Amino acid sequence: MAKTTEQIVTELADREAIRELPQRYCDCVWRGDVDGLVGLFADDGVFTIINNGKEITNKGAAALQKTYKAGLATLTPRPYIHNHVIDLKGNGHASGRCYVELRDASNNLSWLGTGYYHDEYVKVGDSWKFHSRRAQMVHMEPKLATGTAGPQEK
Amino acid sequence: MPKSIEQLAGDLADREGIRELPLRYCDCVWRNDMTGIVDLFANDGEFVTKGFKREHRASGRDSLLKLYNGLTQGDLTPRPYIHNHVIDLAGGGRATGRCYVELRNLRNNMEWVGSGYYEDEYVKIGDSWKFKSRTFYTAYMSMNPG
Repeated sequence: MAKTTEQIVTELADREAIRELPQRYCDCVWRGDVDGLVGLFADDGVFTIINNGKEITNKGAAALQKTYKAGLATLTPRPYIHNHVIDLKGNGHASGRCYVELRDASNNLSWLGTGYYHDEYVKVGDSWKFHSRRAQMVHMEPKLATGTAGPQEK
Repeated sequence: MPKSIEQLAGDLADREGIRELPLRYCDCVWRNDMTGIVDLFANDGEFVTKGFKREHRASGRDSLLKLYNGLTQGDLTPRPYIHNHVIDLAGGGRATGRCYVELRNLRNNMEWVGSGYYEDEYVKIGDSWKFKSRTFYTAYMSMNPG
């Protein structure tokens, strides 16, 4: 059955709000806005980074606050996001994938590496949030590859 | 109170109209369409650059056209890529946003020359969104445009 205009507009609004999450995430990283970053996650939000076969996970606002503060201070990453695809699942849930390039603010914005995020999104009230982000690094220059990323291992 | 379908649709159309501005700006730079760039600004629109040795400011169509016509006269012929555009609708035909740019140099085998970001103000004029102001902040540049 064809979707109603109301369904179409609502889905477009959902997709627009979800599309904005990774953009705002990058914007916060650029500006070193740790509170802003954590505010993009649901209260029980999870961030996982996978690099060099090592997986590090942090859950909840306090842990995210700590890991992002340390990570941004250590890496000084400047990200650009690309290729964001979104799958609406209904009932306030969605998933997506997007690809990131990182440059290093501590080194004349030299290229730091690239990878992609597997995201789960959840609608909390009227706002979409990250329920989880899994960052799979594909290639990182030695600064991160040597394991100086800062996030706490669990 | 949740927004009505009409409000949601209006917001979506506004965001789409605004999102297109930095994209068209880059497209115009790539095509050396300096008049096209200036047309993206309101008549009293302003472009400001910060982070170079001195702040540069151009206001109004004539000044903007003069500025952009000088864009390719130095050693750098910029070819931009825009990223991470965030938009905040302020209501009443006003909005703000920020987006990040990487520049490559056509004159030197598209060598990567730097990056920065724009703090934008947008204004709705009739049915069209325009730049009210663009302020460019340099994060790193190996050379300066113009």
